[in-house]
Amino acid sequence: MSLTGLSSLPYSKQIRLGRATLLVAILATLELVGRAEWFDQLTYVPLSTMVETAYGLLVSGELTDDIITTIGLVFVSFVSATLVALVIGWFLWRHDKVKQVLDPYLIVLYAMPIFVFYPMFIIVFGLNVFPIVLIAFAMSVTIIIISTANGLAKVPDVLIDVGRSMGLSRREQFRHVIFPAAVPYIFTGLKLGFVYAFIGVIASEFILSNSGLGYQISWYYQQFQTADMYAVLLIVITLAVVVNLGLIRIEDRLHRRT
Amino acid sequence: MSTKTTRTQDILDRTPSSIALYRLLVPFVIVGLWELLSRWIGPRVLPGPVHTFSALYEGIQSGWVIPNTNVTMQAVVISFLIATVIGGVTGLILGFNKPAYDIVEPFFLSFYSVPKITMYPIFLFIFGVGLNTKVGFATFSSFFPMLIITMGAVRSIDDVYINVGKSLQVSRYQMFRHIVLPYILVQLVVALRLTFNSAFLAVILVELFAARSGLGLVLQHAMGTFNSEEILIVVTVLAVIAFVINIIFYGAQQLLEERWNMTSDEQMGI
Repeated sequence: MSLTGLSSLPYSKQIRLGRATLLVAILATLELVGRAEWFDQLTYVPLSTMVETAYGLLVSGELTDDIITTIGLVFVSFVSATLVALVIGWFLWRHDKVKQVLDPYLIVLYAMPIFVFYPMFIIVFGLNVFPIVLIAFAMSVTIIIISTANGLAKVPDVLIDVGRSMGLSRREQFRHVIFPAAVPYIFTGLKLGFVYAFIGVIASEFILSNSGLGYQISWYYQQFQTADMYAVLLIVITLAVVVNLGLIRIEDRLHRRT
Repeated sequence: MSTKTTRTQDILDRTPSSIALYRLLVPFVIVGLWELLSRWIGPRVLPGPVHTFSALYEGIQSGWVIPNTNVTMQAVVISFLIATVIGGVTGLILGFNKPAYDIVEPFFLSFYSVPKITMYPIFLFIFGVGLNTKVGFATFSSFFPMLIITMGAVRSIDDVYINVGKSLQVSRYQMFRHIVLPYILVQLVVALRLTFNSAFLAVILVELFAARSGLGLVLQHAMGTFNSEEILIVVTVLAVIAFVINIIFYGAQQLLEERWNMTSDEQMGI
């Protein structure tokens, strides 16, 4: 990479330019691979066709129900996982012995392919949204528990001493000192928890369900409607990337403040 | 971090024996809860542990469990190895090149959040159903954790160490062996664990979606026929494999953390 001609620019500008160039290169590749006709129309379509088809699907309202379903399920799973995880994380922080016993199991649980329980949930609860929410919840909850318990434990003793010297009660101490100080750590867990809830919902829909964006991708795949399949895929990827970039930005800001 | 010291003691077998004992009890508690749940929901929908383990034994005897497990694990191990090498080498290269790292990092981090299973149809279109497609997809999907953690680990090396190495005029190999590797070793172990888990999940998902053999296919078939016994057998086999492998990696990680006072990357949440 030759940045010599650009070296008069400040470093951060050079990096931004580099990112823009890379983005354009990726998009151009996605377009040109389609244009070059290395693959037939059933295998790959150029990026412009994907965008056009996606626009058509969005405007016609065909996807509206699926988008609402998917976003709603992600939201329900993530919020319930967050509430449960904050309580459990707080409990583990208060009871260090329990935390020590469970620590290795939490790490292993986080790594488990939770998704294998999806077929079981379908048998128990039927083919509806409940198994999907349960999977997304389970995929999301562990990392938030871990980051809450560890985040609270990481609050420096100095802060707690200051709070004590100001005569705060235990409850005030937690509300005004410990919890705010732990927020940056907890947020990293929330970010990952959200990502896993999103992946959990889309993956469940994709493997077996009857609505949602993930379902539409596998449906169009089975119908050989390649352009539509790529269009929905593009929507899913865009959604994931945009939300994640937003979360990363908030996270950076939180961490810089501490 | 207060858990740090207890972890050391754990490794050196100085853990208060009560905690070690309770840790051993946890699996039994889980099996107990499973039994209770099975009685509550009804053993026909959710067979209990005793029934499942005897069914698992029968499944092994009648010869469908082992071959399917082999098919699945073969794909997992091959993808894991390829993803480790490609992701690790790319991670090292990008980690050592600060501008390149700064440019590509947001791309990889944001792509990490994409549900990659939805891209599996592309692999099917191009390669068709088969072992290569399965391995290709699982490699693709597990390549990212390896790459992201490796390059992050390299980037986090304090320049002081590199400069000391340079001023001592060590060779490239020596620099890697004595400065870089010790610094990033723990995070590499974390990366290996996550890479393995990604490959594992990817193979199962792929087999659930479209495959000709493997535990995922058994799962898919059992789901279609509402055979909860078979589902539980497969889930048990997969859970035990994931559990054992993760405990091994986690143990290695802790050994390194405590023996050499290394720390892992908290950013990835592990």
